[in-house]
Amino acid sequence: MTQKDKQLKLWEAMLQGDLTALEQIYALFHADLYHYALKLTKQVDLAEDAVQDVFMDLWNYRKQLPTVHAPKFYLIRSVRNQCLKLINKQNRFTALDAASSFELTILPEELKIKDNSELTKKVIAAGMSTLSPRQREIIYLKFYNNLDYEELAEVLDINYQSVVNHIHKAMIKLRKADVLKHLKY
Amino acid sequence: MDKKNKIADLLRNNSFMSWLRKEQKADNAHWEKWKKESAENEQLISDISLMEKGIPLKKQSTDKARTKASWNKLVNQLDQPNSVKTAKIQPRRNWLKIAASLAILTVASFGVYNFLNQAELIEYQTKLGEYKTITLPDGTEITLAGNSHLSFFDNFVDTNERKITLEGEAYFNVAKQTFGKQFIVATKDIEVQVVGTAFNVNTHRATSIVSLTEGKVNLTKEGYQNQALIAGQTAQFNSATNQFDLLADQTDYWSSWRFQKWSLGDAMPMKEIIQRIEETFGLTIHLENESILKKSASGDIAIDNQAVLFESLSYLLNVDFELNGSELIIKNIE
Repeated sequence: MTQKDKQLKLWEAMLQGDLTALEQIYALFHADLYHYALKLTKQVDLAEDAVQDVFMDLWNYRKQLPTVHAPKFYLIRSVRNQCLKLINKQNRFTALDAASSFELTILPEELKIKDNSELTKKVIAAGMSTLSPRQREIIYLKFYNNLDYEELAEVLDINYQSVVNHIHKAMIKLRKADVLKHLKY
Repeated sequence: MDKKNKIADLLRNNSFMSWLRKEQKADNAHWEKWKKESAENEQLISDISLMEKGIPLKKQSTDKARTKASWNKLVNQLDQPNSVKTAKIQPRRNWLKIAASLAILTVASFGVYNFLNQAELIEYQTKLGEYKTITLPDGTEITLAGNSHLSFFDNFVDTNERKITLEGEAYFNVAKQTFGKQFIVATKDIEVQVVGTAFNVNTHRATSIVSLTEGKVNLTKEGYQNQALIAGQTAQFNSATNQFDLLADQTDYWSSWRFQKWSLGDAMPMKEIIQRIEETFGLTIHLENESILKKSASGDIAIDNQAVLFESLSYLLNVDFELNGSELIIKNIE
């Protein structure tokens, strides 16, 4: 049985009301979901709340859920939507502007790099800053969470061709900025 | 059809993708031939390979205790009857507080407002040998070293002096502050005033040590002359001369722990190594012989495993380590 089959089996059990299955799903995905939520919101409390809300809704509304082909993709999409909701709620009461709240960054420290020199990190940081926030979010989702192109399109609510264009452009930009040759594959 | 559409189509073409990924069932003959048909095809292959290659992101390891604690919190809410409703009443610090202060503003009762709006202290504590990365609301990233404590008030984004208090050691990558805001790291003896930068602060010693990798900071100590620090400089307040001393060539050393190593440079004195071991692992060190203090070590050593670290130090320094509870005895090798 592949990883995906196992996950789908857990998902099926969870839908039937098996709480231990929900716990296993939580254990499998919590770290990645929280990581993403924190990247989006940059707020520890909000990120944790977003993940908890998603699982609470998952459990409470399990009988009305659409058919899911990949649990992880479904959860990532839900976490993103929940983060948006929480951020907007917060912004209604404060003067924070919505655009800066979703400035997802990728730091040199988060990448496997060949040498840890300050110069290398500068090159990488500069390269990353040439990408648009959306491009950074897409490559983060693609290469940290292994979503495929169709899933990315659905998570971000854009079409398949746009996802391809974004990743294509982002990788060309990173190569041009000399980022790739400093990375350890 | 332009290049981007062609790339999109090829990415969806299972036969092409399995050839590109060198899978066994691939139709090699067909795609090898296709590749040679035109320079354009070769360019397409090169671009798609680049997209497949992507970027290697470090996967954050799962913190089982954290996940478990978070699950327990969730399951408590699930078990309650009508959990949908109770969930929404669950105190959600930020927004509840904002809603509360808003309601009271309309009543314009200032005293009550202040009372309810009291900022909450947020604290982080790491155990020995544990690291924690914290992202602050303003986007600042802090890596907290082991055996360290960090605290700030949850309204810190709204204050003009965004002050963080540190005991122990941490590496700061401070986000650019909006005009009029200042980021400050306060330790028991000094304050570091920041203008968007990256630096390490260690408060384990008698006086704090600040090491700057990027940007510019200002070190202040009440009643004494300020010290400006530029990238590559490390400074420590000297209580004998009552001024900041600049420590030469120590920046790499002070920022290396985040990468699970100590960069000792050309000749790190034994005294520093001993102090570093004591504060990192919470050990008290006894030297069998004072002559050990004359030794020094060089190069990079891994610190993610205590036993391995002692082994490499033992080799580098020609000494033996003997661990006895929280006491570490260092002996010369005969």
